[in-house]
Amino acid sequence: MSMTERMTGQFIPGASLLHSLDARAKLFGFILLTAAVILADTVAGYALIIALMLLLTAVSKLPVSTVVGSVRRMFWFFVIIFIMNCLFYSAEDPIWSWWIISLSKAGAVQGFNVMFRILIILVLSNIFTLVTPPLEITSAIQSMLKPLKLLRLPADDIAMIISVAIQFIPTLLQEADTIKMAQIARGARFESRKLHERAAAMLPLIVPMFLSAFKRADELATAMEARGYRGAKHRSGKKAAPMPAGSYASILFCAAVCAAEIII
Amino acid sequence: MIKAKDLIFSYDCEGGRHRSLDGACITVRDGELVAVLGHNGCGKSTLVKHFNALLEVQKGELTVAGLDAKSEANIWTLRRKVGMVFQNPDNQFVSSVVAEDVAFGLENYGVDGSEIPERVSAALALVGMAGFERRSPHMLSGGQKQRVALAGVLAMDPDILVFDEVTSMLDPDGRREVLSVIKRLHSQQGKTIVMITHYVEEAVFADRVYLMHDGRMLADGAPREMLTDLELLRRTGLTPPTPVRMYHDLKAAGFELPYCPLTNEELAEELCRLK
Repeated sequence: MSMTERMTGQFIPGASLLHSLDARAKLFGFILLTAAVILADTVAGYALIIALMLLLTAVSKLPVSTVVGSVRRMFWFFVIIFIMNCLFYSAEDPIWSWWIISLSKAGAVQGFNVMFRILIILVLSNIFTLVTPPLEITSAIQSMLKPLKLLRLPADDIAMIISVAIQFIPTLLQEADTIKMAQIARGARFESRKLHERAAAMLPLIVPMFLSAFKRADELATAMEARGYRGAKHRSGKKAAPMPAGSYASILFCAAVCAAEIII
Repeated sequence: MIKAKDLIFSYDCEGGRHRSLDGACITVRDGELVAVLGHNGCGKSTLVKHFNALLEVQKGELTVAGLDAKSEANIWTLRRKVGMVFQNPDNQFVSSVVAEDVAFGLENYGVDGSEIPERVSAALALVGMAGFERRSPHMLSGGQKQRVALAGVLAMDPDILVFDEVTSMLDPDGRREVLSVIKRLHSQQGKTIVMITHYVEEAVFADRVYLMHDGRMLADGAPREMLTDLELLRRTGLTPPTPVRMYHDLKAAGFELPYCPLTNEELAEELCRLK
C-alpha cells in the first residue's frame, strides 16, 4: 500500500475553487449530487454524471490517482456486486439458469447500475473530504442537523463523532496493514487461494483491530477531556456566518444537475 | 504550585482491588521543573492524571494552582490551568489539519473566533512549528506530532504543563526535539513543569527529581543527588545513567574520578583530566 493510497479521503490543503467554497454549501451540494447519481438511469444521464465527475476533478486540481484511490482498493467488492446482481436479480427470461440461480439481461443491467452508482458516490465523497477540512465538515453537519435539536437529540455531539471517526480512518488502515504484516510473518495465509483459509486468516486480523481501536478511542477521549472538551454545545463554534453568493450559486448548480437527472 | 498529600487511588482488577497510589505526596513549586521517575506500573501516570481532575481524588489532599482538586466545580478551570500531553502522538489529534487541532482547546473554552488564528500561530511558533498550520498531522514525524500536541496545550496558556512519558514512542531525533522544547518552555516562559518518564537520562536537567515506586515516593532531591545513589535507584527499579555506571566501574577498577559525572559531557571532561 503506497503512501498516497493510504491517505485517500484525507483533506489536502489547496487553493482551488472547490477548496474555497463554504463547507455547508459543499455538504449540501454533495447530498444533491448523490441524489442525482441515484436518479440517473439512462445513457444520457450517466454521460452527464461522468462529465460532472471529470469537471469536479479538474476544478479541484487534485491528482486523478488520489481521487480514485479508494475505488481501486474495492475492486473485488464491485466484481462481487455485479455477479450477484447478474445471477440473482431476476428470474424472468433467463439466458441460463440452474436451481435458484438465473443469469438474465435485466440482472446484468441492474448490476451495472448498482456498481456505477456506488463507484460514483465513492468518488464524490472522496472529492468532498479531500477539499474540506474535517472540523469544517463537523460544523457543516452541525448546522445541517440543527432541526434534530428540536427532538432533543445531541446534534452537535453526533457531528463531532462523525468527524473524529472520519479522521481516524487512515490511522486504522495503517494499523490494519501493520497487523497483517505481523500475522503474515507468523504464517497467516492472507494470500492463500483457498477461500476458507483466507477467511480464517481474517479473524486474527479483526480481533486485534477492534482491541486497538477501543484503546485508541479511550486515549483520544482522555486527551479531549484534558483539553477541556465537555460536549460540543460548549464550544465556541464559528459564528454562523451567512454563506457567500458563490456558495449559493454552487448549490443551485448541483440542484440543476439533480433536476436534469429527473428529466432525462 | 501543586501540593499532594497522602493520595490513595485503587481500581478494580482481576482478583480484587489494586492500589495504584498508596499515600503519594508531591510538591511542585511555581516555575519549577520536576521529573517523576519510576518504572512501568509504579503509579506515576495515575498520579499526574489527578492534577487536572482526569481522575477523581479518592483519598488524600490535592491543591493545584490554588484550587482544591476534590471540588467538582473546579474541574474545568483546573483543566485550563494544567495542560497535559500524552504518550501516543497519534491518539491526541481531533483534526487532520494542524491549525484546527491546535484551536480545539480554545474552542472548548469559548475563546472568541477572531482571536483564535493569532493564538494558534503563536503557540506553534513557541514549539518551533510555525508555518505548519495547513499541514496534516499524519504526515509529520513523531517529534513534530508531539510538538503540535504541545502547541494545542500551550494555546490555552496554562500555568502548569504535565508531560506523561511524551518521548517514549519517539526516535532519538524526535526525543531530542521535544526535550529541547520542554527545556525552553521552562527557562524562557517560566512554566511550571511536571515530567514523568522512565528514562533516567531525561531527569538530568530537572530542578528536582522524585523517585516513585509502588504508588509512593521513595525520595526526592536534586538530580545529582538522586541519580548517583545506586542503592536508591536499585530500589526504584531503575538503571543509573551511563556516566554514573561508568564512574563506579572505573572506581572498582582503581581509577577514582574527582566527582561522579551525570552527563556524557561531564564524563568526557573527567576522563580527559584523568592521568
